[in-house]
Amino acid sequence: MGTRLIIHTDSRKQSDVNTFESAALSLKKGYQAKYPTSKDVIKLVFVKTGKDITRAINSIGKGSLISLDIISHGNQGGIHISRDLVTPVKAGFIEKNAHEIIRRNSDRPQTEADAEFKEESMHGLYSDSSSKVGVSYYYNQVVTGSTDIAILSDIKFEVFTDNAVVEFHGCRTAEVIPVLNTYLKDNFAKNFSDNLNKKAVVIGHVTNSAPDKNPNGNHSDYRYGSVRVYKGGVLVRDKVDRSKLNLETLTTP
Amino acid sequence: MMKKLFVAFLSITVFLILIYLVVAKPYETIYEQRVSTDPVNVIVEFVNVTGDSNCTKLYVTKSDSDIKNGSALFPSTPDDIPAPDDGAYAYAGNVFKLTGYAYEWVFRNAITGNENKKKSRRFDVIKWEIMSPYTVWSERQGADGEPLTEILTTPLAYEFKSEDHQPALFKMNNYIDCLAGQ
Repeated sequence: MGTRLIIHTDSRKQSDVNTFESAALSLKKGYQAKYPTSKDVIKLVFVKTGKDITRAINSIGKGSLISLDIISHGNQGGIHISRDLVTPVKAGFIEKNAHEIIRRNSDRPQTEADAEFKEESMHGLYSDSSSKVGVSYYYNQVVTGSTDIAILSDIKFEVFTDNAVVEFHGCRTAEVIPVLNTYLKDNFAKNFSDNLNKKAVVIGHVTNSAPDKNPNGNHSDYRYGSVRVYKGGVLVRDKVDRSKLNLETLTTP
Repeated sequence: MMKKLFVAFLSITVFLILIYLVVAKPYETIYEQRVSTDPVNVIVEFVNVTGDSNCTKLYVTKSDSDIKNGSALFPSTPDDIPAPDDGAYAYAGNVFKLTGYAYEWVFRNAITGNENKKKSRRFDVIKWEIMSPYTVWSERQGADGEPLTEILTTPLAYEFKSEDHQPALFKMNNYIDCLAGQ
């Protein structure tokens, strides 16, 4: 008997919290429908921090985590959870300039006044320390002092079965940004997959996801759109449509 | 040996300075300004983009100004108006009519004095109403604790009471257009 773990996370927007919860329940029903006689335990967990995510994973017995689904905000750096600060914090010289430069050519460049203060803090699960710092520069969010942030090395990967399936339903965890993710750092899905057996599957979205645009009409289902699939850190499917994904070891509904 | 090291150091320094000049453009100041002193109307649809808390969820479907259909809108509201993109009515497919001020970016070259302008997504909202019927997140929960929704037809509208509409009164969030390029 194994465990299927479905994690849905907090957000600063209540509508996102509701959407994540609906998607998590929809997945649970999907597993129950696909394996009606299975004795496997389906655990549904709501988390507010990266440490909550690692605690939920690490609490599973060794070699018994069959599948992990995380429904959350996301980016190439990891599972992103942020919170509004009661009092904004003045950005440091490097942080302020890094934020302005990174966003300089975006759809919303940041003015000096925009970058002056940080108004949110970070609490998610990221690939490593440099990833969380990179994400903090992009969003101009406080990262130091957030003791509930986790990184991949906090996870006990031995809890996963050899052919486990991990799916990140949030956005862009498998995005490859030229230069950044081709020469400097791998994306979160690849980094996660590096820690698993070569038969284990990790699926991450390439772009942002909007479940209400799912062609199947289910507003609580992120399993559509462009994804990348990794096995033991190796890319085995590149930019394929999730709704048409068919892998031998794929045990998700 | 020292000469080679010096040349290498100089080359790297020049390269980094060039990158900095091209990417950061320190010679350019940027700011946003209102396109006109008169408010305009836009119709927007709520799209449930959940990439990040900072993703805007309002996309223009119709406008009486030159804001393009399909554009992402970054609403900024004064303290006494709730944000149209966050609340029980923040649900996929809901349509809002917003009245307010559109913005543009100004990129001013400090050396030449040249100014380039481009459309900004910022929109200072002085009034909004939701088109009926609309869907809201219910306070009731389903049998498994799942969030439920209701369809309502009750009129819902908010208006900024002040005559003073200066930009500083409108709170701008750190929005991004998560559907850009998709």
